[in-house]
Amino acid sequence: MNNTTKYLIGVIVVVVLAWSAFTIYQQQRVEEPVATGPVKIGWIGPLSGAAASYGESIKRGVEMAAKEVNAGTVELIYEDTKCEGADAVNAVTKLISVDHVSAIIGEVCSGATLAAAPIANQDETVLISPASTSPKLSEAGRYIFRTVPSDTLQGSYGAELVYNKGFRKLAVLYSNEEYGIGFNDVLSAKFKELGGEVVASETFGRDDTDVRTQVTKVRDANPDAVYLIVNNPETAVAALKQIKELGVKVSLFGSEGLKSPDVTAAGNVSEGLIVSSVSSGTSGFIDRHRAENNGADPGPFAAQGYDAMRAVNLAILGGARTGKEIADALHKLSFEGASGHISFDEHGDVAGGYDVLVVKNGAFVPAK
Amino acid sequence: MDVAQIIANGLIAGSIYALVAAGFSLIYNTNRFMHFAHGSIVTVGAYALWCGFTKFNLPLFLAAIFAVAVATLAGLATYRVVYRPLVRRGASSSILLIAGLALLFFFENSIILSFGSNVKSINYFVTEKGVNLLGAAVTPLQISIVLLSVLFLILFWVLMRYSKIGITIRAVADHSELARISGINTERVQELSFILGSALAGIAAVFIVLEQNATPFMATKLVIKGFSGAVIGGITSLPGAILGSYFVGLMENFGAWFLPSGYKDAIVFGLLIIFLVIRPIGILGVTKGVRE
Repeated sequence: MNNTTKYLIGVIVVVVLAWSAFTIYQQQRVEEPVATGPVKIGWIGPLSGAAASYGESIKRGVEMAAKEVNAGTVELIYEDTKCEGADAVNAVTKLISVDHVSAIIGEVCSGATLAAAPIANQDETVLISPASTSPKLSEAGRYIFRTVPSDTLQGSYGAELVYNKGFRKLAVLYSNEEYGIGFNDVLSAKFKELGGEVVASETFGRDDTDVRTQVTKVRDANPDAVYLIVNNPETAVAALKQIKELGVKVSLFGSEGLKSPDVTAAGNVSEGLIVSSVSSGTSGFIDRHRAENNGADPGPFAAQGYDAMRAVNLAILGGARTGKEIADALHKLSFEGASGHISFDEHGDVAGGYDVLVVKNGAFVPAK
Repeated sequence: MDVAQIIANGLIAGSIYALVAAGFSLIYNTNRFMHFAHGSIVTVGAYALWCGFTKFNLPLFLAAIFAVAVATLAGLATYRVVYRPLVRRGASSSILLIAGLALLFFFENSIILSFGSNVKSINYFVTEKGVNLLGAAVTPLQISIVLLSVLFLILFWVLMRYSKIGITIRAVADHSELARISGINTERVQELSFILGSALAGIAAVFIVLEQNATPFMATKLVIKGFSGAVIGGITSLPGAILGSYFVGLMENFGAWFLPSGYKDAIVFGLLIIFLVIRPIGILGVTKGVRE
């Protein structure tokens, strides 16, 4: 085979490849508006990394709701984003431009959801978070929704909870990122407004397991209650242990991030801890979750994950397909979800109530 | 101000960093590349302890030996399966560094796959208020961690200083080519440093699980702190790496006391940068070879 023949064959191969690529591209373009096949829904959240246990719990809730519609109506596409902003941005871009999803459920961590929000807005695709509670998310755009109430509500609720139990000197230990900072701002402001005093306000990295010096500072401030805000069970367990070891003997309060089986499994350190938590689900939802997941109780945000998927289901069953149609449909929705009554306000937020739980004999029980 | 408490907090953190840094520095000196998967060996050891204790119902002492053994084997396996074949094919130290990072992720994700991502605690000791030691509240476990770390590090130093194995290891670290010409099997010595370094990582793992808990992601933090300790103290010097680790532990806790606590990690990395710029060989480092 001489060089000319090789050259010719090369040209032919390139032409054939280009032609087939073009044909396939055209076929896809023709198929797109027909919208047969299932409606694709993206899911982003942590399936690895320190927050993976939240991601797994939410995924179970989402799957329960997905099963409620006829097989083949919706198709879920999962992307692991590790609660990282950069990963969330990549995943949302991929889901929108490659998979052509109609809506996306996620992210879990507020920082990651905020990072992904501008892309979802720009591409007019609904992003509905089951777990991001940062107050900033309310202003994140028209296409951003959530089935979990904002920390503006939980922060105030937490402050009132502590104040109404008669405590006046509060120390706050919070994780140094979007969630912890947002929660602490609201909590501290409300507690001061009520007439209490925030005697210490210490922060730590989301993955830190050594917070002894922060706890030492809290101990020196002589508070009569400590509020722990973190959404990483590993850090929560370490902090609770070190609070006990350093002899800080005060009432302990925690944000809903502490409502994790890891915290109760850590032994005596969590005994008496009071946690304000977004709803863990109606009793009907809990029973169903047990039946469908080998007897396991719903994990954190499983009910909110279920509600997010249910809301999307209802919008799609109502005939909405494009991002704009789905967003409009969501605003008109009103239904009884697993976490309570769901209806989105103009910011895409839900009202939602809180449960107050206390750790007794190694289990979360409703507080009186 | 609670000086005693801050010193205690720093020493507890420093002891764990030192055990990681000592192995890291030993492996670096004989092999001349950064074994970033060293942190994962700690994770493997931690999960081995958890398995031994809760799954196989071994007594804690046996479970600890099991953990150290598994960590040692895991370290040896990374050398035999990944690093040695690469070195034999003439891989540069940057290739080995990337291989180490790959191993770090490999171990992390394998552990998530087999054990899930939740926190594993042993709760062998009931957590209670520590005893008062010179004004600092420390638990008996924490006192034993500091004492045992120091004991193991002294044993390790004696081994390196006086035993035949130690002298051979130092010869290879000093000049591997010369050592080879004098009839030392350098590959064997490099393997041996992986065994010793990984055993130290296994000991660190036991302490970490008892004191804190085990998660698949503990490796990254440890390797970064251990690495910073080793570089600040002088990575070419074993006592330096240990000293540097205690220095890091104390500085981050004192820093967190004086400054807002959010700066805790910034202090460590700030120190690391200062040392890299002003004294890249570290406190006790030497430009060539290795100090005992």
